Amino acid sequence: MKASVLGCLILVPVLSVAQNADRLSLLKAPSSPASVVAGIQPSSITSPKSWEAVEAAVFNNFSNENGSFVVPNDFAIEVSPYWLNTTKKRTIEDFLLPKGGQSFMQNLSFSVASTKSFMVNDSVHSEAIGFGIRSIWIFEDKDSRKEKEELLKEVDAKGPRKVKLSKYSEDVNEGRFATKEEFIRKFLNKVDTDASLKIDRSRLEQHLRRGLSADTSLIRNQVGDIIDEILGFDQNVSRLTELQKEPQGFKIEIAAAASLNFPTNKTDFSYVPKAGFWITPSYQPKAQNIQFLGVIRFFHYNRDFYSTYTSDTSSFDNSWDYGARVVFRKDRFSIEAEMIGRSSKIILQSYTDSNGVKTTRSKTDSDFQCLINFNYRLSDAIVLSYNFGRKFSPTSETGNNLVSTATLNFGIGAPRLSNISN
Amino acid sequence: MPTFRYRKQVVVGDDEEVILEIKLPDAGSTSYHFIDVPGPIDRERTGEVDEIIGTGSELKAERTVIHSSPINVNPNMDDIRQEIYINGVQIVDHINLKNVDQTPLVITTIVFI
Repeated sequence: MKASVLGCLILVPVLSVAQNADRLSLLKAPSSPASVVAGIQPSSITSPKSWEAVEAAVFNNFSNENGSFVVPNDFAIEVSPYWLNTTKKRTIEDFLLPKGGQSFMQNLSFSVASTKSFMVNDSVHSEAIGFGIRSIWIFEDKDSRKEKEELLKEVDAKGPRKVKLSKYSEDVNEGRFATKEEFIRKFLNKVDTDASLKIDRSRLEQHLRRGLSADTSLIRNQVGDIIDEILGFDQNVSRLTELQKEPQGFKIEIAAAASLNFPTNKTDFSYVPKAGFWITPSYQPKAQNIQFLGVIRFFHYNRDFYSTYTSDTSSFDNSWDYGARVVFRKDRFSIEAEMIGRSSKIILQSYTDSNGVKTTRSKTDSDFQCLINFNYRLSDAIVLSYNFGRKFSPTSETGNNLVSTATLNFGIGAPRLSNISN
Repeated sequence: MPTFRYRKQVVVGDDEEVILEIKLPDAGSTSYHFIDVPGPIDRERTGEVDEIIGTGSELKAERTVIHSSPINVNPNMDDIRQEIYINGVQIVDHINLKNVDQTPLVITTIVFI
């Protein structure tokens, strides 16, 4: 009981922020654009690793026992053709150091999502399929690329040494040993005979003495840790992953999607109710403490579909969202400033008179919001935040558009290594 | 850091050539291997492997041990995978979460009978 009360107290301020204002990050190109236009939030996205797996996923989900086409419920699949091309071996160099337009091809993915619960009105659902395409074009800084090349060289040099040391450790284990000292002596003897290891012997010995347990049954599994520690292999791999996650330089992420709806649940009658695209340019300079992000999002809505099949009386023709964000980080402190503009055309009334003349009364609306967000990391799990700014004007007359909230966010419940190991 | 160990028995004919394949199904992966086969010459390989490691009779003399250290630098992947096949049959499907170990040591012992 106490735990749930505490949970509510923690969640309330977090939720209040979410309700107070849209954030620019929510407008970025989604990982599965097809799911967005189909209006679903799938619990998982199928990402097949081979063409055979793609065939199996499509066959299993889009056909029934008679072999006829069916629309699966809450299904999402994302296919990256570059990585499915098994005729050419893809190396880690291809992945980390793409040349020219290769990054665009590597990140290119096609997504399909489907649902049987596309809301037509309050009580009627219909079948819908979303189709999407997404990619990222990365123009990485020379320095960042060079750092990756050097790190990869180091990893390529250390990896073979690591597995050789593992082999020597297993050899000693095979030959049996009675004490920790005996293991260390035999292991170092093997290391001494191999000049290719290029290892600091005295440092290795020091680490073995300090890191190995006197209980000889544990030694077999402790050597791996010591090898990693001596080689610094783990740190090199972490840094490569980090550089890959936030590449320094200019990056442009694009996505587009359209949904296909079957309002009568018959495949011979369909509409394209919603289509759109996202463009997300960003720049990460070498100084990691600053970042720039831009967003353009466009949606086109099929007014015929919404006015005929839904109870939505204020259907849009088009809506545009655009914005920019600057983030500055220094030690435990970060400040984010962002602005989002929104423009939409609303169809107020549409009718055809007795002469067949169609009249449409429309209204174009635009609005913007700007927010400044201050964060201070009190510890690894606790962040103090303050938001100030102007949010989009509320629809009710009495609502205000001022945002001024302070929140304390607790990160709780992350698993520890010991939890997973047990 | 746990060391992941697999031990498999594989039936092969004496004259049969044995093909070892090591596959890394995820983008952004590589792996370093020390393949300890019967006889004086061991093999050091990097990345994916697809090669003949000997005939059945040669390999039955002793066990074969593959020491591998797979890594994955793809920030979108949560785990590290490495698959081992003998003559097209999968004998090991190693998966571990990166937050358990991002530079695991995978030791596969194969006894050919």
